[in-house]
Amino acid sequence: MNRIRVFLPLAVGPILWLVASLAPAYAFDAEQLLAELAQNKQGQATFVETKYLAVLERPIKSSGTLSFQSPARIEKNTLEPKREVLVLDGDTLTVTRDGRTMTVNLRDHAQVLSFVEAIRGVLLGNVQVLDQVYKIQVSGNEANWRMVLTPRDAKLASMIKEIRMGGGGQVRSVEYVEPNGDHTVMQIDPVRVSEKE
Amino acid sequence: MNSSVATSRWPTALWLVSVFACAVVVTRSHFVADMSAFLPRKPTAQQQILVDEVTRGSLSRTLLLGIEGATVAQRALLSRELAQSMHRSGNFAPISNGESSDEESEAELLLRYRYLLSRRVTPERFTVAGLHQAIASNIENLAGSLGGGLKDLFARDPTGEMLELISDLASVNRPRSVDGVWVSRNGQRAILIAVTRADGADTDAQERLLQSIRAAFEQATRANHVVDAQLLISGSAVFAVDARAVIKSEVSRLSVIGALGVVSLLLLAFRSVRALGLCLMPVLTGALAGTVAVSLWFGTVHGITIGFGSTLIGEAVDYSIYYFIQSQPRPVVTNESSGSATRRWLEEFWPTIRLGMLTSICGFSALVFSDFPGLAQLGVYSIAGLIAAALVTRFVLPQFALQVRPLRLDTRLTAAFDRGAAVLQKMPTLVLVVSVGALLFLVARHGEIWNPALSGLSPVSIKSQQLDESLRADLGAPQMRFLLVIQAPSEEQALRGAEVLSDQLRALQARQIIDSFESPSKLVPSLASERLRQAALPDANVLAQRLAKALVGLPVRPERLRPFLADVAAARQLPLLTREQLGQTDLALSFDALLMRGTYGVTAFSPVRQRISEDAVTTDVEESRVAAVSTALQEATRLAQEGLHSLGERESRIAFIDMTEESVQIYARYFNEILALSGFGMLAIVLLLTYSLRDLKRTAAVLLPLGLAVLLVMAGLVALGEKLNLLHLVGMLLIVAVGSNYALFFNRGSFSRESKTGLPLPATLLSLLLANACTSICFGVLSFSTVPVLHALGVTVAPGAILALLLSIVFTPNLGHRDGASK
Repeated sequence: MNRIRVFLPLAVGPILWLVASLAPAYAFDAEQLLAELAQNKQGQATFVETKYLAVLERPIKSSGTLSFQSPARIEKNTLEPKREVLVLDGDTLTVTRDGRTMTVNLRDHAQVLSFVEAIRGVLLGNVQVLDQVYKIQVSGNEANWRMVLTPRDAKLASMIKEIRMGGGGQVRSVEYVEPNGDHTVMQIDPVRVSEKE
Repeated sequence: MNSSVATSRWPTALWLVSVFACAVVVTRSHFVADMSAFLPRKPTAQQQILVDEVTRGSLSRTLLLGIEGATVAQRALLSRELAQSMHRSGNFAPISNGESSDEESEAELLLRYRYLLSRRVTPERFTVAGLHQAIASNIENLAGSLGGGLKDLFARDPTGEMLELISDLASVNRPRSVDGVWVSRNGQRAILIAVTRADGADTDAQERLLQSIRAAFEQATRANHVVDAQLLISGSAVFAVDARAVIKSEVSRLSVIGALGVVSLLLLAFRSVRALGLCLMPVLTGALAGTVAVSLWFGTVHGITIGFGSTLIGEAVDYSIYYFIQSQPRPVVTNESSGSATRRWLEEFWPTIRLGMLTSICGFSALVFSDFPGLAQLGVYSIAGLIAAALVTRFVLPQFALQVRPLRLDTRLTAAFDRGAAVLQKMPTLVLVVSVGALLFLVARHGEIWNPALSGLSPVSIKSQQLDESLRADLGAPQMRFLLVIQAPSEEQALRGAEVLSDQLRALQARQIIDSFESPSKLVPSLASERLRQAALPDANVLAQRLAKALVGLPVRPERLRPFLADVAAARQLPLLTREQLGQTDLALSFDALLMRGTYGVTAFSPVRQRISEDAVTTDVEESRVAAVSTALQEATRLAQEGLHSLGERESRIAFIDMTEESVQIYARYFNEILALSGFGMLAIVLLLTYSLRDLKRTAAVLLPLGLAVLLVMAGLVALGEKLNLLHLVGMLLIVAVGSNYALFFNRGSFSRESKTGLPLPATLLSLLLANACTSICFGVLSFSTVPVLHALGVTVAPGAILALLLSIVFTPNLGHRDGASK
């Protein structure tokens, strides 16, 4: 089992949720967008994740809660259909299911690592860092914006074709598309968004 | 010519022949210098397991490495490079430092054999309902976080066996990771763990491997211009290699120093190299005889035994000293010739010397019966050596001694002895008072005197032990305290037993009583289980039909799962998985570590990892938690054993070993054994003395200074903070055995013939002092050893021998001024 394939997608989702947790106003410009993100110190949300897999006839869904704690701790708590807890803390990923825990060091996987670093850059409001890893396209306006990230590196591109994010009102979405057509959409509902600092 | 001289030459001839024969045996002897002397001969089967595991099993081949110093990035770099070069050398596997190793071939293996490995493969699973349930559950897994990796395999493995296998085999407590490599909890140290391919009992091979690791590290630091980085290594191999080095260096050093001390003293006393040479003849013969006796009796000679040879020098030289000094002719008094002086010596002094030798032998024979090969060798060595030295002194030396010039004693020296003796004679009451005080002191501290740990006997230094503990803690490997062992006549039965046990342990894991466990059956199931699973797989047509029905209601089309049908069909034809197919992978090494083929069957190990409490808990809470785990494991063992019996496996045994508890018990047993042996040794000495002296009062008078010497030495050691163990107990027995050599001289009624007041002649006293000094030097040198056996014996017997002499002087009645006629 190629571990990268396992862990890249599961890291993508929760991290990108961070990118999606925006304050209501502002930012259809990349820099402004990201500057805003740096303001968030913590957050909670519920999510519904839908996966469209080539091997299955119908999409499959999972749902649960997400929480983020500055500087780099994200917890994804899946409640349906099967209980599972995923914690990303720094560069260590821990998955607990069926009473058993698996731990992965993301630094072992260079692609995921560069990806994580990019997002950290995002958290610090550093659009340059994100720009190094992805081509960024932002469109729309405050009420309804979209951002599309396309990996620059060929190896990363072989795993992720595109990341699309959308926001407007209170519903956010993150979608990532794989080259073979499989794609995952996560709808995020912030429960409580922290005050702007 | 004096007729006494014309004794036949046969003793000398015999002696020469014996020496030659001994030399031949010694050159063919096999010398070892490892830890084997400290491992007890194996009385119980459980201890046999421990000994095997320690000497040959994976424990003996595991190395823990730590890199300290330099910067975080440099440590990570060195860790990676070191692991790479160790991997390239092919002498180590596996090597883990936190980097993901190439797991492709192992994953392939698991994938191919998944239907034979997975516990969940049963006939029920491959019914329509079973397939439906399994696939539905796996689809839920796809929805979860691990779905990314699973979806590629889904077409081949829709029921999710791979996920189950990988979760089961995943090792749980991993260390912290920084920069892609494992680091200690405080991040200051990069850590690696490696298993050598060399046999754990082959100390030479282990030493070479350790050197190669150090060389590789040096190279890596140089190539990367890293300064200030150090490599720490720990593990059984390190202990064994270090112990051997210590023993070798100490043995040579101590013997040389002891010999030098004695030689200088003798030169000073006799002022003649020839006399020195003759003095050493019995000593060297004794050493030779001792070595031969050990070699013939035990098959190998341990380095420690040779180290003990220095003490043999000290004691054996006593005999020659007595001879040379006490058999000096006294022409002024009786106009005797040297021949008749020798005869006089043989009549008057030799019996005392012989008795002293016999008491020493009584003392050493107690060692011979002990269960420690090291101590037993010391016993045999000393007995053989002393008898040989005594015989040479008695029969051979007189042949050669005719040409030695008689010594002359300095009047100042004799006057000094006189004054010294007078002072000592005034002290009986003082000594008794001090002794009572010492006794009270010991009684008051009786709880703290003894060191109850086996570690006190080990030649591994405290520092090394602490480093080992530190590295283990860094790796997150909790002390492997609980070990479950399955013993069976064959590998198949052992694996069967392991499977039954694993069922019980899995239940404990689910209840979170234990964190995880390892078992060889996880890697290679028993053939019986594999056959059952293979039989549970339906044939292709049946499976296709059932699959079509099972997929009703699930978002999968049967066409997509054709690879699954192919894989199951292939699995039905697969030859059963055995150790051979694991080849040389990491899985294979893990398996070999858990299953050992021994002299009486196969032993499988199931180490259990306890949960580490994350929060700080008090020792009491921790202890009661550990006790609860222990009870649960014992219950699991019992249930598993019953399960095995009900399956008809009557020859297999499952045992639960608490390593800590076990070592405490071992120590207690040996302590009691040594206590009993020392008791018998003392008894033998007392009986011997009573029989020879034929007077209880005189026996008591001989034993009093010896008993007090033991008491004072014991109190002194405790006061100085030395923790006593069973080796010190042996030392005390030896104080009595060796000290009696001196005490006996003060009680010979024949002395009173020499002077009015019973004072031994100055010559005799001189010989005693000289002999005592030699013995004390030789034992005293041992007290500087870092090897516990030698240190303990040295630090008790050296002061004990000195005290035995001094106290004998103190308590001998009627030592008045000497008769002037003895000049």
